[in-house]
Amino acid sequence: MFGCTFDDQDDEERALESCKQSFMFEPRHSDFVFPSLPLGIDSKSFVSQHFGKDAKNMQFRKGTTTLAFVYEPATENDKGGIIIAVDSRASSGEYISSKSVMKILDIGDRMVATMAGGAADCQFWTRTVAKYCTLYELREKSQITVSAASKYFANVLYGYRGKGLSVGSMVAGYDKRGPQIFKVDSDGDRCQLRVCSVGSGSLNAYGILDNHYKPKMTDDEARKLGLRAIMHATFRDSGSGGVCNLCHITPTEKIRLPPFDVSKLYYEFAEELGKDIVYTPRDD
Amino acid sequence: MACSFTGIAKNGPNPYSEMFAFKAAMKAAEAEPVWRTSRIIERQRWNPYSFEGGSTCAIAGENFAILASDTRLTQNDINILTRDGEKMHILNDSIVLATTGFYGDVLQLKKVLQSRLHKYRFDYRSDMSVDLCAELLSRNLYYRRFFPYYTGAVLAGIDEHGKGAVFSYDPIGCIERIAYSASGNAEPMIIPFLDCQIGHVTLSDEAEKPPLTLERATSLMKDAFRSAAEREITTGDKIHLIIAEAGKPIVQKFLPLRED
Amino acid sequence: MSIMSYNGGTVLAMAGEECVCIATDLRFGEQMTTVATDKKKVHKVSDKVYVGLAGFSSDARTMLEKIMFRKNLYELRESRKIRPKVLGEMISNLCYQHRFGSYFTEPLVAGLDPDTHKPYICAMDTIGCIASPRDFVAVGTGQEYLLGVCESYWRENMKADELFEATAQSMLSCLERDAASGWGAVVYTITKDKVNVSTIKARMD
Repeated sequence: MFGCTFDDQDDEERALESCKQSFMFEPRHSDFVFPSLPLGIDSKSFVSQHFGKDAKNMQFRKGTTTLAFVYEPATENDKGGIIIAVDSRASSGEYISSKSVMKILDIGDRMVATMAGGAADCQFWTRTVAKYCTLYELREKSQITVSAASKYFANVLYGYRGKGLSVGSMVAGYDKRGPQIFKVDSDGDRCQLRVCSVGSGSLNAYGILDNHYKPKMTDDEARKLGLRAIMHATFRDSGSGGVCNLCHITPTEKIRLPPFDVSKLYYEFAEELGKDIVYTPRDD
Repeated sequence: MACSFTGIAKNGPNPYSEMFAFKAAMKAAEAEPVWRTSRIIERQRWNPYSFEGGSTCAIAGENFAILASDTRLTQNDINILTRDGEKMHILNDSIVLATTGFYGDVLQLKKVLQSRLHKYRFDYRSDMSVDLCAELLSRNLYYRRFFPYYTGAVLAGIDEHGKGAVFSYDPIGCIERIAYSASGNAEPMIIPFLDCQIGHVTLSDEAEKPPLTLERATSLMKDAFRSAAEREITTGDKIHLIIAEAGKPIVQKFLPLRED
Repeated sequence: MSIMSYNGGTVLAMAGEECVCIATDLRFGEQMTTVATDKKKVHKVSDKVYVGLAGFSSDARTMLEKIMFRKNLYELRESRKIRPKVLGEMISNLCYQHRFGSYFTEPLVAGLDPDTHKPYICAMDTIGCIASPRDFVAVGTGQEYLLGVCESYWRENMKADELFEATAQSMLSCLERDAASGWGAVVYTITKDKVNVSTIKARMD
């Protein structure tokens, strides 16, 4: 009753043991199943029939440009690491349903996942991966590698293959093996890349990245490159736009930069080049 | 032995044309399987949804949240089912759910949320905050990923810090906290108007922007619905207005709108 | 994505007191890709008569050539300037001639009557059903967005500068939410003395 007796300690141990059993179990398949359609109806075609291109107001939110690349510091003052840059538009059809989506989602404090494809799919499954990573770190008492996290992600998505999920995510982070980016998509594909872009505007972003990317860059150069690639992608691709959210993962920390308006970036860029973008209509 | 393992037999039929024929047959079988009875074909065209039209809108302010919806329920965009249907549901003292879409799913969703909120109140002896409820709604929408709720939901209320909160969703639970949101048939008409008046997207950075007071938000809401009712056939009859202010009980109002 | 929104584009016309405004965006796209940002969809037909053609670009171009041909023929035959109402009827007629294989473009006419300076605006669907309200009309991918904003901006008997402001603001708000149009806008303010053309800076995404 007063202070700690032996009995109490036993209780504590027992509580810990039961806690371990219920939370720290070895990874096991969840019992949860998504409620599904009556037998004989394919969910993919059903969903695309009712929420696909012909649906007026009920379309899912999608469309994106995301990019990430690994670079090494050029000088001693730079940190190096990974730059992740994304736009912030969510469109359903031609309608821009949001201009301020955060497409860099946290997985733990050293890792992020980007969001391309179906917005809800990415948000939900990234949360699932984040939960897995947290439990893993509690159980194993060591930091999870980007490789392991992305593999879990890919396996989950592979389990739902052919059901109509739409995810194109990049899992990026710094672990004991150094900076790493894994591209994971809803077909169950997973590959490690150093320069990577996903989404409807990815080709435009690749154009800029391939042109200006160097393995060794200063921090400032790298951030500018990310911004510039996103800006050009949003200019050419009508599915991307809004602001550019940047995240810089250095060997020691994760830095989230304030959002940049891509339209303002475009005008600054045009001024920098001295490009004449003012359109003067002829009255004919 | 006649067949060889090394490759294509010289004198046999062209293996490519055989391959194409096989692929075509597979495709045909996939599209129109022989075992498909008329009942199965009918089932594939099965449509469990209907759409009752209407629209809802929500604005979050510094210490208030204001929601509005029309009260018309329509069938096939033409027939009016009722002129005072309820599209907004007060879940507790600080959470209001506004939904458009298939009314059956709306009611089901409301029931699911209400029962979860009830259980939360029972377990924790306090009301759920709007942030928690927003995440809960997002998950519940996503759980139906392969048979989605046919609803466009907007959740609004006062959060733990006494600030107005509005959450917008897509049918499968993509969640975002924003300053104003709308859903339903008139969403494309209301949102650009609010972009202009609340988001001030058309003003330059230096221009003076009027602050968003409760009075201004209310009058903007009325304007938005009046102009939507002019042009959109499934929106009309009455504006149902719900005002949630921090530290005050929720106020409901009904205002007249076009009835044609 | 339907053929009407393959290239994207929005045109808006508003009527005031002895003045009309007609605004167009500048995007020319191919589905999701923006190909050019200097393609206006509004064309001058006569002194104070303008026509806007939204929809599929190549059909819009063909349509414009046919319109110019008919309008020139009309003016030569009648030896007077064409009135906007007449032009509207003419385009409607042209559209309906292709009733069973229509051009994928929605024409819009805005102008002042050369004699009375009465404003006239009208829009039609692809087969030429004229809608000629007294306030405003819009065609193209951003039509719905425009109708909502214009409804709250339009006032009775606006002067030229007020009308310009209303048109520009409505157009910009629409471009914010329409992915298929944007990248700048041009507004023509048509008054009885002159036509004022101004380019509006818009978001470039």
